[in-house]
Parts: sequence; structure tokens; C-alpha cells
Amino acid sequence: MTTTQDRPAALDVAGLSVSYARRGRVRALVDVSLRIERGETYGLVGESGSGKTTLALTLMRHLPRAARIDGGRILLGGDDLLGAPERTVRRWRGRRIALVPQGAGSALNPSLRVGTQIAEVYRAHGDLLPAEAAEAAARTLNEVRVGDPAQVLRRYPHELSAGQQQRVLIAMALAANPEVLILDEPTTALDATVEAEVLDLIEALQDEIDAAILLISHDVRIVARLCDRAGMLYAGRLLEEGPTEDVFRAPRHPYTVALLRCVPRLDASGTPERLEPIPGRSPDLAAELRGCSFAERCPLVRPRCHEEAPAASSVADDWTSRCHFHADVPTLETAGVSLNGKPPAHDGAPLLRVEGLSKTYHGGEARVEAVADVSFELRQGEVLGLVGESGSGKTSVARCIAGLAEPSRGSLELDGRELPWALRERPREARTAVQMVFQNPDAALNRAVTVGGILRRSLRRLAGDRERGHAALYDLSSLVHLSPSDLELRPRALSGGMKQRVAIARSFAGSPRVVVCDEPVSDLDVSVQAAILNLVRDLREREGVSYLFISHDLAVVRYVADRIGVMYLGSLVELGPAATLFDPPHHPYTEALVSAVPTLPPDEQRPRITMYGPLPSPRQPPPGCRFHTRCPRFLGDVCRTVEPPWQQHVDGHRYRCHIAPRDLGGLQRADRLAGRPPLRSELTTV
Amino acid sequence: MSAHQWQAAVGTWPRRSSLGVRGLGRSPAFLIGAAVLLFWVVDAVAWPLLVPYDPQAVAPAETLQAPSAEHWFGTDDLGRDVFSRVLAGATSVLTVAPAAALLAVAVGVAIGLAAGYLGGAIDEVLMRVTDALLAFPLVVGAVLVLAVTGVSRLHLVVVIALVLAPLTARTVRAAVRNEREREYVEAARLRGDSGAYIMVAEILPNVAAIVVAESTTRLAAAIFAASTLSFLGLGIEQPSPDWGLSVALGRVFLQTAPWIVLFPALALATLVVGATAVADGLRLRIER
Amino acid sequence: MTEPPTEGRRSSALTRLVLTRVGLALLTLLLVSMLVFATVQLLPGDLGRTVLGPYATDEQVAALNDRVGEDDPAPVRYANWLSDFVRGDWGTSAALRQPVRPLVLDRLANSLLLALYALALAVPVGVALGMLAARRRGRALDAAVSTTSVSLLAMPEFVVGTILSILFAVELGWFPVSARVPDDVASFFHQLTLPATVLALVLFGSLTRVARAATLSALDAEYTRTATLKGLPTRTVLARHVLPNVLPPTVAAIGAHVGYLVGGIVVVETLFAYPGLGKLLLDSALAHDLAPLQACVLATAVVVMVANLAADVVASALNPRLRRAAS
Repeated sequence: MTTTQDRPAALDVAGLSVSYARRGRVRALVDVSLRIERGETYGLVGESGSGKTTLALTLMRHLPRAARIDGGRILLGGDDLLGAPERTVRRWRGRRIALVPQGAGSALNPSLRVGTQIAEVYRAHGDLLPAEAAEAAARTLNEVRVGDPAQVLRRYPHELSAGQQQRVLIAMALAANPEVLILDEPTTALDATVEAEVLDLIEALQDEIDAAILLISHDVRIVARLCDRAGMLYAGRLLEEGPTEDVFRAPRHPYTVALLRCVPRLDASGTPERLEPIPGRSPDLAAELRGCSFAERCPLVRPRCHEEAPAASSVADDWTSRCHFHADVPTLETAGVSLNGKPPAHDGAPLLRVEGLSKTYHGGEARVEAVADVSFELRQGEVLGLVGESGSGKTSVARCIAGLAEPSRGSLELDGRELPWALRERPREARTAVQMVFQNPDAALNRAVTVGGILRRSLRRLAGDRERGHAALYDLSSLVHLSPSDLELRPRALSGGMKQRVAIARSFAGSPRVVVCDEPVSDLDVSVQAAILNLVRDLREREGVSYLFISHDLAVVRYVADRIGVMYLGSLVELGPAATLFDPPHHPYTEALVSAVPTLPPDEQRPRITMYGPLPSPRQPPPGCRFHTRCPRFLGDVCRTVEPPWQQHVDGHRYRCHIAPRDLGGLQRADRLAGRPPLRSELTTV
Repeated sequence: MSAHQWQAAVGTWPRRSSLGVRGLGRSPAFLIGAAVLLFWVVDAVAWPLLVPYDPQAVAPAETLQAPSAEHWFGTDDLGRDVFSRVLAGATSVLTVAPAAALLAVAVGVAIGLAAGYLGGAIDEVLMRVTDALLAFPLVVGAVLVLAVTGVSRLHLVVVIALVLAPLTARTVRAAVRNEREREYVEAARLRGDSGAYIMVAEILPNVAAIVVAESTTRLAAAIFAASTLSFLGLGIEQPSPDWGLSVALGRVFLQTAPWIVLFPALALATLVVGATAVADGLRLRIER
Repeated sequence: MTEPPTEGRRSSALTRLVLTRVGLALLTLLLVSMLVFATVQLLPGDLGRTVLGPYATDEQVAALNDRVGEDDPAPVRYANWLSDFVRGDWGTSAALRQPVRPLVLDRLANSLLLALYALALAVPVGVALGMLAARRRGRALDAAVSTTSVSLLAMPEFVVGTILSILFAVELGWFPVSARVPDDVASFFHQLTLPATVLALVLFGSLTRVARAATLSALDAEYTRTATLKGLPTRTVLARHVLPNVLPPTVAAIGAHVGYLVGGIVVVETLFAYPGLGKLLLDSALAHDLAPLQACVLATAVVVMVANLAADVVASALNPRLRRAAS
């Protein structure tokens, strides 16, 4: 892409340092420099605590009172942003530089209609009359591909889906045609398919608008897909920066290498590689740091790294790395060890058997079928993954099996014996045998009790009198690699990863046979996620425990699971070995899900499969096949009226569809080879 | 991976525990309030050592004298020294109010815990009763009951507690319901812990901060209630130097000898401000 | 993307909400009436004796008691009393020898006058100051407002009333020490300003805090930040984004404060010897005059519940999310 020399860069940040006053001085950004031209997309990769949100807020000149800009210069289209008076900046905000904030749901005013909120931008920056502004708002909604803009404008934010809310926010940011557009984690908390649609939208916008785009994300995969250049932000410092393809293909900073090795891949190439979590902790931002911020955790560390902070060395044109030894980085292992897929021991009889599980909620006049007739088995020593998007019912299934919710129908067997659904009716051995790990590590531990206290209580209740004493406690904590000093701490002092390890230890107190994990890594950083996933795998091998692993993230599930079940709108639509589930033949929904997951490196060839129409309301599930309203391989009346049978493929792989494996496999493989998404044979009116 | 590497693979730096109660030392409002409160508590106990005159000593020759060097706050219609009566008046309110507040909190916490955790029918019933009690404004309810039961310190304590408890119950219930949704409660159920254990050992420690804040707020409210009831004639009887009573009885002399009512009123004002400052300081600290 | 609820559902959700609340309120009222009746019936003393005085013979007293049904079992008496009450017969005041209903209604009107004046003083000032303090959070104005409101919050009305009386009635002579029922506009302000101010001050204490807290929470909200980041001028952000989210909790709080107001009225009316419902309540209690006492307590309970209900309904109506609760 050519840069016109006479036009100043859209955004030029030089040597920016920002700190907060909080029990001393917390250095959020240190000497950050980056430059984005008009029409260019720059991806800023950073985990929590890296300073990315601080950077976004500094660019908007909207820092809290406790923050202080310690140095640096920001030029917005050549104009000094830091030196401009507040009045001027207020005019620039929204018009010259716009931010799409994280968390679409809470960023919109719940008391105002969406149309009003979009029109406001026009009224504020363009002096348009209300009618004109409303028209402009409708036009912008079209630009962000929102269906039926007139309807949407009249609604309140909580009446929109998450995907729609995100688009509205993007529309508001684009309204005044800014020179710089900042997207702060645009797809966090969105379902995989919705995320893919939003990313498609951003890609389309890249061609249509002239603005410089700063995309902030913790997910390297979407940065790889969308951005021309990438920068790795760590502890407030930009460690590496360069053309995206180069940085991710042949990184020149140990942190980049380490981060890439943490990302679970969905590549269909046999057994996945082992993820390598990054050892150590990110540095305390309040402490004085003399050397390199990554030194504590770096595999290439040498004495010089602790003493001297590295300057930005040039690797090539437009590519810099803050590492003394960046030339040695290519020698680091980038490929992980291949996991030896030790097949779980099948004794024949399944450990846990679920038959006909259904759960219907009655809220007032509404009847919501959260789970409809789900049956599967969990074998000894196996990890069964359950994937699905929001509304799929996977969490309800997990909670019913754990005993926290009661289904309307269905039976449950443990070791061939019937197990009551209700927790209080289960015998003690059953309670010990089936345990659960929750998604939110903050809420999952009692804040008022120490780690030792939590584990001791669990030992007493689950392991019974036999296992009293310190030995049992230390055994349990070392199982998840907690040190004895950690036992004295309260949850408040622990990081997310440590909290989750305590939660896992707690569930293992009574030597369980089945551990139900409900999105255990979704709230964690990528580098921490890898550690927990490895812990899950290792515990499975050592203790022989079986897992029911729920997640919305396909790549994560691929990494840990032996078999995977796919749920859609309360039904189980597919069940099969992890190794073959992601390849044809598989259920069209699975096919769409797989196509939605961003890969690293980005696969240009693979067709993006769009599902047609909106997600049906769980209150009125479609008749016949539940997926028929959105299925790209919709056949016709049979899909609309007859419930699809289970089609059997090899190795116990089965799915519910009217198309037989041989035909489906043929179609899907052909489409993949041709790089073309399937076209629906007939458009249905929902 | 080695155990050492495992141990350290955590990610972001763990947050240090927040300041908690220690930070209160920096808040001037809280400190002043605490000092005032402390003063009155000490006075309530030690007033016999502090008073220049016997608060009950009648001196017919010296009635209705304006404040002067001998009588700093003047004398009342029976010649009693107002300053001494003000100092001695703290006892009655500081006996009744704390007792009532404590009782109110105890009852409120019990009801709030039960309603919040158990939910369902119990919650509905308890909340209906609480609402019914709340529909009686403080004074009205107290007036009604005390007119019936007659007045004594015990009755006063119980009545005030009954009137204050519903609000505490509601606050505790809301906090408990919040906690109940958190997964650690479910984890406790999975462990096989009983409902009672969970309520007391798991949830209560997490709402303890709120209970403390409630207690001090109720104390301020109890002081308010006790003194108002005395003023209305439903509190402590004569010839107690109780402040509320003093104001009620001294009202007839409002235009001729305002000091009789002014100083007890001011004393009460300082006590209320002190108690409220302490309550508020605690509440703000806990919410942070 | 799920389908949103249709238009028709919205209004029915609100209607349902109102009906439910009204139903619950009636139920609570019934409970209250039972409580009142039960409590009052425990009053020591004998109706017949109270009416006829100490010089009547025991037979005469017994005859009267029998005639008024004093000796019937409690539920029967309750049912009788309740049906009479609902039909408009509220009994006769033994002490004042007047029918209770016109007496109570008359006093109620006087009290409402005072209460509305107090509300008119407290609400606008309290809300405005609360919002202002929140905007200037942490600075001098905020500290001053916070400290003042906190101090006033728990201050007994008679303390405030006494001090203000001494200041404005005794020393300065601007207002009278006792308040009479006003007959025209001039006397309205002259008579009622002092008692209304006393009431208003205590109300203002709590209202300001609620308004401040609600404003702070709205100011800190994500959506307020989005509005600022869009480049909207501050006054627009405040008026369109902050204010609509401050109103519902504040309105709800006002409803709750009517309860405090009623309690305060008893004290203020006694302090200023104003012939209102509160004073009647107290006098009846002290004189053990059953009929007006029961009627007053029920009347106050009704007023409190109606105010709470109205406030809740208004707050819900202002909150779009609740309006569409059907989905």
C-alpha cells in the first residue's frame, strides 16, 4: 500500500507514557510509538493488564483523573492531540477520532432508543435537523449491514441481539466519518458465528472507508486476519511491531513466539500440538523496572536483559523489535510437541449415561425448551466436549448432570446404576463422584475464606473421615501446582488462573469420577488458558477422571476433548471423535461453526459459510429439523416437516440430518476444494 | 513442565487486598464523628463525676435564670442546672438506642438470611409481613404499640427494634440474594453442605460488612426514635433529665427561657451527627 | 438474533404490573388493619367504663359493653369493625365526642396541606443539589452537601424544629410559634412555612443522598462514557443520558420517603400545635381513644402505601426495560 508522502499520517504516536496514581505510581504505558496511515489497519495485541484500554482512552483524551500523561506526543492528522484545549478535543471526538468501546450491551444507554443514539452523533457534529439525522442514521445502519434499519432504529438496546448492538456501536462511530477509528475488542463475548459476521463487516468496511483503523484485541487470530500491521503490547511496552504476516510467520520477539504457542488451533491436521503456557507472571506495573519487561519469563534471557531496557531495534523496513537478542529469536522452537493422543481406556460400559434429557422453563405465559431430548454417554477416562452457541442449552445440560438444576424429563445413570437428578437425593458417593468447575473464577470461590480453608472444607465433605490431615491438603494443592504459601491467601489476592486452579483442586478433593467443566477458561487470558487446559489434560491422564467440557470455543474444545458433541437450540445435532468432527462429512451447523473460527495463519481459501436468517426464538423452535431455517444445505419440505434421523458415520461419529454421510461428505468436500460456500437451494420465509 | 513452572504460570499480577477498615483513619468526618460519639458514651457512664450540680436538685430561688458564670446553660423552671441535666441526659438515650439497634439488626439479619437464601414461600411470607410493618411509619407504629403496652425501657427497646428491623431485613435479603447467585454457593451445595451451614458459614461472612454498616445506621435511627418518643411523651418518665423529655417539658418556656430547650436539643443534635458520621464513614468504606 | 416483543405486549406488561402491585397493596392493607385492630384491642381499659365515666354502676357499664359488642369474640369484632369502616362508619371519639370520620378527614386535609408544602420545598432542592454534588464529586461543594445531608438525615424533627423555632420565631419573630390552619395565601406562608421547613429539612437529607448516588451511578456508567466519546457536549450528555437514568430511582425513593414524612408530621404538628392528623393520632393514643386511633393509623397506612405504589409505578413506567418485561 502506498503512503502519500505529503499527507501526514492519520495517527502518529511517539514515545507515549501514561501512568496512574494508585498506591504509588502504576506505569500503564511506557514509551509507546506507532503510526497508522489513512486506509491502514493496525492491530494491537495485548492481554489483560497490557495497557491497551489505557491507550485507547488516551487517544480519545478521556483518561480518568488519576491518570497522568508522563510524556510523548500524539498527532492526529498532523494536529497535536495532547496539547489541544479541551474544547477543541471535544469537537474532534467522534468527528475526527472515534472509539467503538468494549462490551456493546453496557455501552448503549438503556433508556434511549437506538435511533436517537445514532442520530445524536449527526446532530452534534453536523448540525442536522432531527428528520435529516434520522435518515442519516438509517443509512449508516445499512452500511453496517443491519437488516430492516427502520425497525431497529425504533428499538431499545436490550431488544437487540449482541451482534446487532455491536453493529450499532460501529455505526455510531462511523457516523461522522472519522479519520481514525478505534475498535476495542470488537468481538469479545460474541458467539463464534456472530463474531465471524462482525469481522466480515469490518473487512468490508476496510474497503469502503478511508479511515485509519486501530484494532485492539487479545486474539491474535483476528488481528492476523484483518490487519496490515500488528503490534504486541506487553506491560505497557510495545515489544514488537511490523507487517502482520511477517510478525506472525517469523516473529522476532520471544513474547510473540510465546504468545503464538498458547493459541489453540483448529487446523484439521491430526493431533494438535501441545500448548505452551508462558511461565511466570507479568511484571508489577507499580515497581521500577530497570531491564526488559519480559525478562522474567523469557527463554532467551541473559544478564544484560535485567539491566538494560532494550530500545526498538529495526529488523527490517517498518518492523521493529524491543529485544537485545532479536536476531536469535528464530532459533526458538515455534512448533510444539505433538500430543500423544493416548486413547482413553474403554472398559466397554460407559461411566455416565444420559437418556432423553429435556428441560423446559415456564416463565409466565412463555414456554422455553432449553434442552430437548439429549442423549449421550461419557466413557471412563474420556473428555467429552460439548460445544454450542448461546441458547444452545449446553449450560443447562451441564447443570442438570451436576445436580444443580432439575430437568423436566430424562434419566441419568452412573456406573450402570440410576442416579437421581436432584442433588439432595443423590447418595454421598455419587456427590463425590460428580463435581463441577465453573466459568467465573471470581464468583466461584468464597471471598471470605482462605484457599486452605476452601480446600480443607471440600476434603472434609467430599473425602470423608478417611483423609483428614495436612498430607491430604498438600497432596491436593500440589495436584494443581499450588505452593503451601498460596494456601494462606484469600481469593482476592489470587490471579484468574490461580483461582481456577483452586476451583479445580476443590472439585478433585474427593477423587471424582466425572468433572463437569462449564466454560472454565473463557474468562482467562490466552497464556493462562493454556496452562489450565494442560492441567485438565494431565489430570485426566494421572487420575483417570472423565470430563464433560463445555465451551463455545471450538479450538479450545479440540485441544482437550476426545469426543465432541455439538448442540443447537437445545438439541444435540452431532457427536463424534474430535479428530474427525471438523472434517466432512459433518452436520451443516458444525460446518458453519468451523468456517467461522479464525485460523492462524488466516486461511483465505476456506469458504465462509453464512447461516441464513436470525436465530429462532427458543420459545418457538422450528418444526422438523431445528436448523432448517438457517441451513445452507436446506433440501426442502422434508427438512421443514420431518425430524432428521441419526446418520451413522465411522468410529461412532453420528449426526442428525436428512442427507446421508456419503452425499454430504461429497458436497462439503467439493465446496471446500472450490473455496466456495454452499448456496441455499430454496429461500425459506421464516 | 516442572512444578516450578506450573506454580508460576499465572498471568497477571495478583491484586493486593484492598485497604479495608484501615483507610478510615484518613477520613476527617469519620474521626470527628467517632470522637463525638465516644465523648457522649463516656459521659453517659461518667456523668456523676462531671456534673457541677446534682441534676435533680431543685432550687426554687434560682428558677429560669439565663446562662451565666455559675450556670453555664442557665436553670430551668424548677431551678435545676441545665448544664448538669444535659450531661446526665445522655444515659437514657444511650441505654435504649444501642440495645434497640442491636436487637433490630439481630432480628433483621435472621429474617434477611432466611428470606434471601431460602426464597420461595418463606420469602414471600416474610416479605409481606415486613412490608406490613414498613407501612407503619416509625413514629406511628411506636405510638400505637406503646399506647397499648405502656411505657418502660424494655418496651421502648422492643418497639423501636421491631420498627427498625424490617429495613435491615430488606437490605440483608438483597445482599444475600446477590450472594446466592454466585457460584461458590453452588460449589458448597455440590459438596453436600446443608442450607443452614451455607447461610451461616458461607454467605454471612460475605455480607458481614453490610451488617456492620447497617448496625451503625440503625443506631443513628434508634437514637432518633428513642428521643422522638421521649419528646412525644411516650419515652422515659419524669423527672429524668432525658433530652427529648426536657425539650417537651420546656417548650412552654420557649419564648421566655429558650435555653431550657436549646441546649438539650443541641446536645442531641451533636450525638445524632456523630453517630451518622460514623455510620456513613463505615458504609462508604465498605462500598468502595 | 431473537425477535423482539410486539407492541401489544408492552402496555399489557405495565398494566399487569400495576394490577399486581395494587393487589399486593390491598393484601398488605388488610394485614395492617388486622395488626392495628389486634394491637388496639389489647389496650387496657374498658370501653364502657371509658365512655360512661367512673361514676356509672357496673351494671350500666356491662349493659353498654354488651350493646356495643365489646364482649364478642375478637374475629367477630374485627369483622364488624372492618365492615363498618368500609361502609364509612368509623365510630365515635369517646374523648372528643365527635363522629370520627369527618374529624379524621378534616385533619387529614390539614396534614396533606403541610406535607405537600414540605415536599414542594424538599424535592426540587434536594434533587438538584444531589445532582450538582455528584457532578462536582470530591470537591468542596460535594463535601459540603454530603456532610449536611448526612447530618440532617437522622436528625429528629423536634430538634430541628426547636432550634429553628428559637431562631426564627422567638428571636427574629418572623413566624408564629404555633401554627394555625391557614385561610388564605398570605396566612398559608406565614403559618406553615416554619413547620414545613422543618419537615423539608429532614426529607432533603435523604433525598439529596439518593439523587447523588443515582447521579454518580449514571455518570460512571459505560453508556455515559460512550456519549462523551461520541463528542456530545456535556450539557447534552447530562440532559439526555444521565437525567433519564437518575429519575427512576429518585422517584422510587420519594415514594419511600412519604413514610418518613408521616412520622415527621406527628412530631411537627405536636411541636407547633397544628391540628392535623398526626396530632390527632398522638392525642388519641395518649387518651386511649380507640376509634380515632384506629382510623388515624389506617389512614396513614393507606397514604403511605398509595404513595409507594404511585412512585413504583412511575419509576417502572420511566424505565423502558421494565415496561417490556413481558419478553
